[in-house]
Amino acid sequence: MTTVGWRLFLMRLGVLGAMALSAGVHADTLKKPVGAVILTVSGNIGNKNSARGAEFDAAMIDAMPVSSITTATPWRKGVVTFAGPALKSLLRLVAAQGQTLKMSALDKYEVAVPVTDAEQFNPVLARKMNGVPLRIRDQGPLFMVYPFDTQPALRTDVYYGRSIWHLTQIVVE
Amino acid sequence: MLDWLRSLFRQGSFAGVKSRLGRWLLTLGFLGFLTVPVFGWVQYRQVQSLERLTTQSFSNFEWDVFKLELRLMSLRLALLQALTQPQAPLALAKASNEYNLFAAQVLLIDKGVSRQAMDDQPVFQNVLAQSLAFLQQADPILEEMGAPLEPRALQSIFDQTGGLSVNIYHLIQQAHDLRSLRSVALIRSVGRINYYFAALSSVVVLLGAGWVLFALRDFKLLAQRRQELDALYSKADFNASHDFLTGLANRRLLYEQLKHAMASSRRHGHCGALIVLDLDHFKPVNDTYGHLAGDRLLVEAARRMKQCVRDVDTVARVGGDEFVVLLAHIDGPKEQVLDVAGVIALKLLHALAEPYPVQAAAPQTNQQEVHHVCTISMGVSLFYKDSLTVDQVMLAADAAMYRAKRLGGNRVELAD
Repeated sequence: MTTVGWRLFLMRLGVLGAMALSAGVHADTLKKPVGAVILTVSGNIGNKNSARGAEFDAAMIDAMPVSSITTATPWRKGVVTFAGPALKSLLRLVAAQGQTLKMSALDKYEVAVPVTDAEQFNPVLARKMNGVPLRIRDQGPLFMVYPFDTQPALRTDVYYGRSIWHLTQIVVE
Repeated sequence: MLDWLRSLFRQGSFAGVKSRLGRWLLTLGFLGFLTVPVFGWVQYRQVQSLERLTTQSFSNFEWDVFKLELRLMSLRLALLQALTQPQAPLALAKASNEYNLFAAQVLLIDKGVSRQAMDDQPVFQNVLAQSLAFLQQADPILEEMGAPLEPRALQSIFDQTGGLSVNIYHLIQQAHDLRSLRSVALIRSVGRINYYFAALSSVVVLLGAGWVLFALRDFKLLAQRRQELDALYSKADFNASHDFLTGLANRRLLYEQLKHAMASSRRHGHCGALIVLDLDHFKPVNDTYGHLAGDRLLVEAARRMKQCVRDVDTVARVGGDEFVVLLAHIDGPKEQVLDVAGVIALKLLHALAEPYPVQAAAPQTNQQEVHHVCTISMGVSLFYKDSLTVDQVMLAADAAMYRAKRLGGNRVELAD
């Protein structure tokens, strides 16, 4: 092996190490919630910040990258823009590993969502509706919304049922 | 199939239907028959809609109001606990939570799509206004936890929820009644559609019956025309093979019969005879009394000839005053046959020798009836299993007849 080859090999090792290091740093950076906890992710996850799993307060959720969906829904007249973190980025953040997400809400509503939905349809955990933060009475604090307008196949009772509001807890299984 | 359809509408196909209206009716009736499957489809739709109507199910609005009532009941329970246990902090937190869920349900109804079903109902507007007013009043106390607890305010909120609960209950009842009323209206409208279709189908049946009637008339007319054509054909055929004046066979038919008779005699071995007759002294009748008298005489002579022979025998008129009698089938040996032919010839001789009553056409004769005697000369030729041709038999008989004529007429000569 030539010198150049060795050098390239070492560089690759270095990159791999940096990646491993950053993952570790990532795991450590999940802060502890300061305010009231509005979402708890538990179950088979790799990144926790408490004994119950990964707990989030409103500030932590708002700090995540925001994506938005503009769509009509059966629950509101007209077209509404929902903004908040994408479900898949939340799952990545807590390093979730599993097939099913058991979601439950403040009003004791429960629904099982396949993990594949996160990548396939990219639903959003809405924090804001038309720019206004969601209160509990506006289906807050988190309202999972699918892009019904862009993907007509989603306009079925299955996905309307999976669009859970008052979302407070996710168990990864 | 397509050709058949086209033939139905082709010009002249409905030969019996002369009027444009009739044709239109026929076409309409036919199209009506084509719509029959539509009735089946309508029936299917009716069954479907009736099934849908008879299935008991809440409307979306009813679900929403039902949930609202449940939320309000939970809220009242939580408020009651907070009132009875003012020292427990968790009771108040729970009340706040239930209150927020109730508020969410109210806003879901207020801003949602399902309220369209009840928008014009006063009960609904009443409940909505009351709920929103209640929210406005209770928000400062219950929306966030940790507000200073005022037992009296809490009590008044609890009291208000009682009235609200009753009204929401009324709203549920109203929504249910309205849905069943609409179901009944829908069932009635379906029934009305049924009547329309019954009327329509009876029209179709009438048109179809009309179509059948027209078709039958058409067939009848066609059959009638076929019959007329057949009659015309047989008349023309008769005219072509018979003499116009006397109604006897003409030369053409005679030749055919003779050919047939000779072939038959060759095959079956029986005998036949051909007698050629010529009226003696016929020309003077025409010249003296006129052609009409001559024609009458010919007709009378033909009648007498017919009477002398059997029905199966042929009497033909082959010239002006020249006749032929064909005895196609005579049983027995040749000598006996000759006797039979001779007997018939003599019968003819006597019958025709009788004087004919003749009416003079000329005015100076004063319409007096006179009698004219018109004897005949005859030549008889026999054919029996031999290979003579038709023409040879005819010529032989002719020659015998001329011989009889040369010998003075009023006699029979046998051919050689």
